[in-house]
Order: sequence, then structure tokens, then C-alpha cells
Amino acid sequence: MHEDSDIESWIAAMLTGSGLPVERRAEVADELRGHIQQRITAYRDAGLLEEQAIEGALADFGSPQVIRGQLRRQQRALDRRHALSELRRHTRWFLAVCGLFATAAAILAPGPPLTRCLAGACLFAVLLTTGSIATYFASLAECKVKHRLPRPEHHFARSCLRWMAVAALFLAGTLLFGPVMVGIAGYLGQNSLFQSILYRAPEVVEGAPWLIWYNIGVAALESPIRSFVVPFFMVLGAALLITLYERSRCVDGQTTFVGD
Amino acid sequence: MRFDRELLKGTTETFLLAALAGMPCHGYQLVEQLKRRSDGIFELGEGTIYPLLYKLEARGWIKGQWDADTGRRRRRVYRITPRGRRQLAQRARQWEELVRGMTLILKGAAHA
Repeated sequence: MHEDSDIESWIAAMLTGSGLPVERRAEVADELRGHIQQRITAYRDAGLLEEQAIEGALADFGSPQVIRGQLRRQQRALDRRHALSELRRHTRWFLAVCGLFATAAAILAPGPPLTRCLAGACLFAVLLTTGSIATYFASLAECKVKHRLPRPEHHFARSCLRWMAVAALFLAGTLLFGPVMVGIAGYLGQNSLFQSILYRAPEVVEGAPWLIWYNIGVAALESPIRSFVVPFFMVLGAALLITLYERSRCVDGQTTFVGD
Repeated sequence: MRFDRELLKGTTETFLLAALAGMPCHGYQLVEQLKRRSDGIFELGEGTIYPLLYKLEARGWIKGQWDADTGRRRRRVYRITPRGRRQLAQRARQWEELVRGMTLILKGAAHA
């Protein structure tokens, strides 16, 4: 009884706050219990008293806090790796989805061709950046919510759907929050990019989500300083993806990262 | 022997892969094997192998399965996967190169 309570409190101290998925935690506890029992038996066979055997076995295992820290770091690294792998695996499809929306924006937006192209470029850049970031964090959240080991296999359809959902959510967000953002920006300052969009706020409020990008495009054309906004998002999105590619490589269908 | 933690970083994973390349093992056997095969030079805190086993399994280099035919207590037995074998071969090559380089440098320092 005494033996069991010592072992159980050691295991509990190690697993509490380790960040391991729930079902994995039970397995690790079972595994450790077996290992400690074997060590105790070995010490008993070597002639140690019961108390000494338990003490020795737990001492051999090391500090539960240290192991808990290692497990927690490991779990975080695995979650991050999973999120980055998801991002890397489906970049081409993500670019295709962004491109599709951008082309639609360029075709549907009113105005001269140059402005429409710029509106499309704006949409592409912003989708690329926000989509990459959103997907990374969505994958991290998925690891936490589903409490599963990151899987090395390919989950093509699910990831594709996720990319498209992110893009659709972003556009829905534009429709809902665009007018609010325009209003706030117009209220806050004179020289903001949004001030230019504000001129056309009624069109946005009327409910055409593409128009906000069209208006950003027009604003970018009207001022050389504002036109930095588009390249900024372009560079940011591209930098994220290039960095990801540079720091990773795909071998045997599994992504590895520099420093692994 | 006590080693500098920085020096050991990353090598424990290679120990584990090498041990599992010989035969499937559970945690207790792994610790015993490492002690025996390194002639007692490497003595790990026994609990520290579990975070590493977890990591190696998540990367698909080893695979753990519960041993069904043990009487009283279940044990998780780990096997190296083909991917793990490739990883081990790569690490072994890197390690040989590292040892060769370090030996040359240290010899040079001893003669200087």
C-alpha cells in the first residue's frame, strides 16, 4: 500500500502539467508504473529492504519535475512541428486558393484594369499572410483540442478544406468588419490608408466584400506612400513561406526542420 | 561517469535507436542495455528516456506496442521502424565523422 502510494505520487508529480494528451498520459503512467515495479523487484532480489528498494528505484528515475519539464518541452515542439508541417505540405494549394480569390476580385471589382489588378494583388497578399498565420495557429489548436499525437501521414483533403475555410472566413470577416474598420479608421485619423477607403464606405456598407480590396487598391494608387502596404503584405507572406521552406525539408513524407 | 549535459545533447536519441536496432525492448530493458553496452559509461536517469521515446515515436522512428502476453503487468515494447533505421545510419555516419575530426584536433592540441 505504502509502495503504491509512493509510486503513484511520483507519477502524478511527473505527469501533472506535462502537457501530454489525456489518453497518452494514462499510457505513460502505466508504462512508468511497470518500469518502477521492475526496478523495485530487481533491488529486492539484490537483497535490499522494501523501503530501500522503493527509495532506490524512485531515485534512479530522477526528479519528476525535471522529466515533466522535458515532456512539456517535447510536447510543445511536437505541436509546433505538426503545425509547420501542415503549413508546408499544402502551401501550393493555399497559393492556388489565394490566387483564385484574387483573380475573382480582379475580375469582379469595378474600375480600370490596373486598379482591378491591384485590388487582386491586395487580396492575394493579405490572404497569403493572414491565411498562413491562421493555419499555423489552427493546427496548434487542433493538437490541443484533439489531444492526439501529431501524425506523420498526409491529410490532404482535410488540410485543403481548412485552407479554403480560412480564406472564406477571411472574406466573411471583411464583409462584417470592413465597414467597422473603415468607420474607426476614419474617426481616428486624417492620413491613414483607411481614410481613403472611407470615401467609398457607403459602397462597402452596401455589402460587396470585394470593394474593400478595390478601395485599398485605389488608395494605394493614389499615394506612393500608401502603395507600400501591398508590397509589405506580399513580402511578409512570402518571407513566412520562404523561411518555412528554407528551414525544413520533406523526407519520406515527413517534414524535418533545421536544428532537429 | 558524469558528462557535460551539452556534450550529451542529441546523443541519447542515437543510443536509443541503436539499442532498438538490435532488438525490440521495453523501457526497463532499454536502460539495462544502455548500461551494459556502454560498459557502464552512460548511466541515464531512468525516467529521462520516456520523453525521448515519446519524441522518437512521434517522428515515426520507433513504434511502441503494448505487450499482450505478459502476465500481471502490461509493458510497452518499442521497435525501430525502417525510417528509424535510416535515421540511425545517417547519425552513425555523422558520429564517425565527428569522432574523426575531434580526434585529429585533439591529437594536434596534444602535440602542440
